[in-house]
Amino acid sequence: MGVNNLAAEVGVIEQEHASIIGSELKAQGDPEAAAALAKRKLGLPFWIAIGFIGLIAFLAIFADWLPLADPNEQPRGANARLEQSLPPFSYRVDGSMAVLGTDSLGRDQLARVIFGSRVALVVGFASITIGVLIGGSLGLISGYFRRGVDTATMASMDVLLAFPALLLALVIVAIRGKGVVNSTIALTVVAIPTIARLVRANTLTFSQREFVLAARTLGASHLRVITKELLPNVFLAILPFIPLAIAVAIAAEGALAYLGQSVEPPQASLGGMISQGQPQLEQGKWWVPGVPIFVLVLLLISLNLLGDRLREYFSIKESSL
Amino acid sequence: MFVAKKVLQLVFVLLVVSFLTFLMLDQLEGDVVDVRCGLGCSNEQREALRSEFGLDDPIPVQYGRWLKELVVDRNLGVSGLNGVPVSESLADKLPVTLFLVVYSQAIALTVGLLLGMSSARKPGGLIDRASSAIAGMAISVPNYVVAFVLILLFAVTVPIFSVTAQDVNIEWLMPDVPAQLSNLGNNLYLLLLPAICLALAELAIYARLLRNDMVATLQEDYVTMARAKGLPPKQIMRRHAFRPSTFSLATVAGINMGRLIGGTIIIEAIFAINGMGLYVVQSINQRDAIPLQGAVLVIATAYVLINFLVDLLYAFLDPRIRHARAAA
Repeated sequence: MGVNNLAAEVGVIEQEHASIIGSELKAQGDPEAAAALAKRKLGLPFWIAIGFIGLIAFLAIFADWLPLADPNEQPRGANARLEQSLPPFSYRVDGSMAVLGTDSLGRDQLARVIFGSRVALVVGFASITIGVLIGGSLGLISGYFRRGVDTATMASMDVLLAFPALLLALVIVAIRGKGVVNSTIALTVVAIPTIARLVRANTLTFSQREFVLAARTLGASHLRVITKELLPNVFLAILPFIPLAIAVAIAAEGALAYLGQSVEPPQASLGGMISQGQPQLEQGKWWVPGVPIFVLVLLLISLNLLGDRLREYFSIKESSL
Repeated sequence: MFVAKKVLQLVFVLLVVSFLTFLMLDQLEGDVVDVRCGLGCSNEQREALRSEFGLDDPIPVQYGRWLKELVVDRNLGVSGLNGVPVSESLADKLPVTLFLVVYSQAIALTVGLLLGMSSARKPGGLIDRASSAIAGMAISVPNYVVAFVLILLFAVTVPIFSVTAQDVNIEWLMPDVPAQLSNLGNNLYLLLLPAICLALAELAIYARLLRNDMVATLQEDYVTMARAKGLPPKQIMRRHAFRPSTFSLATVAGINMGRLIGGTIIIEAIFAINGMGLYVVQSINQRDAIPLQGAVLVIATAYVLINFLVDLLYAFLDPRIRHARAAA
């Protein structure tokens, strides 16, 4: 559900931003540039990336209602060994097809990879959403008020940054215990300092612009300046970084899961599947860890592409102005 | 003045970092007492153990004692599981991780410099576009995925490397030079795949940085001057443009060095390398808080110290920073 919210938000803001820039340019009496701006497109790869992320999100959201095998069911009986580590598109003993093969315990890889993506997406989207809320507020406040508030906030962010990200996440999970909620908390804590610094840097530049001065002169309160003048501008500036941050969080969740510190087995996670498949890889059955790796990599590349294209799209410097 | 301020900052950050480390791992459920006791302790025995380890004192007292032990006696405590002093284990594991970090950075810098320079020679050319595409991929793919691909290619399909690197043996004081050299060669061979996994994302960043800075440098007047004098392009690249362009590269490489000491965790786990990262993971799995505390403290301190040195170096190389901050 976090997926839908963010997608909707992105859409709305895109339209708003296009109209803002468009009107600004018209006001400057430069119709040519406005036309060039309208012509700018996100391009086919962008929509393929959106499509792939949407597909995975759809499967992950509706996994419970899809005709999938039970992700945790192991074959039993005399034939159990015959159904282990099957390559994709092979048949089980009972004649049913395991589309993405089976893992070392004979469990259905398609079902596991979908349920694993669910964990990755929930943790990735939730941690960055909460991280943007908390880190963004900290960054806005310290970038706007500066002085003591700024020094204190940024000093504490620097202290958090002194711990390598994965190490900090590992320690938090070790303290709080495994599970989706605690992985999310861990990755939120890891994400906050970076987001706060990014938002602060953007707030610093925007708060020196004339429209902020004008709003203050007209008697707007600090709260109003922050929420109505700074927030929309700063949010647009950091928007392209959000997919990148989600990609980083998903990769980090994979690392936590690989190290056995995400969800409890037998629940599937992409990193856990990769970790369990390592012995199979070493026996040459590369498809066992290959399936979760393939899904993970496609997801990460899509998110990165999304962020890159959004950055180019919103960057006035790189367009033909 | 500038240095004094920086040192003061450093001491403050180190104190906060150590307190946070202490506090975090004090929270680790299942403390030493549980590890020592297992299931077979009576309540009285548990109480006795608690007071033996000083777990009943208030947190600031415990922190003070821990810090004093650490600074005065260089004692990080002993593992609750097997009684081995943490400082001893760390002395074994830290060199392995440092070796891996330096090795991977050496690869990343060499390849990154070559790629960056050849891209800068013709911006928008074939090499530039290819290296930019590869860099994009290398940055978005996590290193544990790279590890799996490399294992599949070079340890399983074509078995020229081994799947694990647990036999790495860092010995600084070997009796004779040939033994030292063969040991070094063996370590370099065992750690080649792990080092490449760590180097890939870094070298992509380095190539990008150097390329962008170099493209900017090549537009400077003195480069035009050198061209006008008829110097060969190779010499301009090497003698005139290279050094002024390596500025941000040096900074980022320095900071990465510190970051990587804790960033090797997953690669060490995949290749079963007996370094700091694996030590952290094992301590977590065994819920052994004191070794974890020691390892986290050493990693965070190394990172803070290296950042401090990079800051100083930066100010030393670029007088503008020194004076701008002193004036402010």
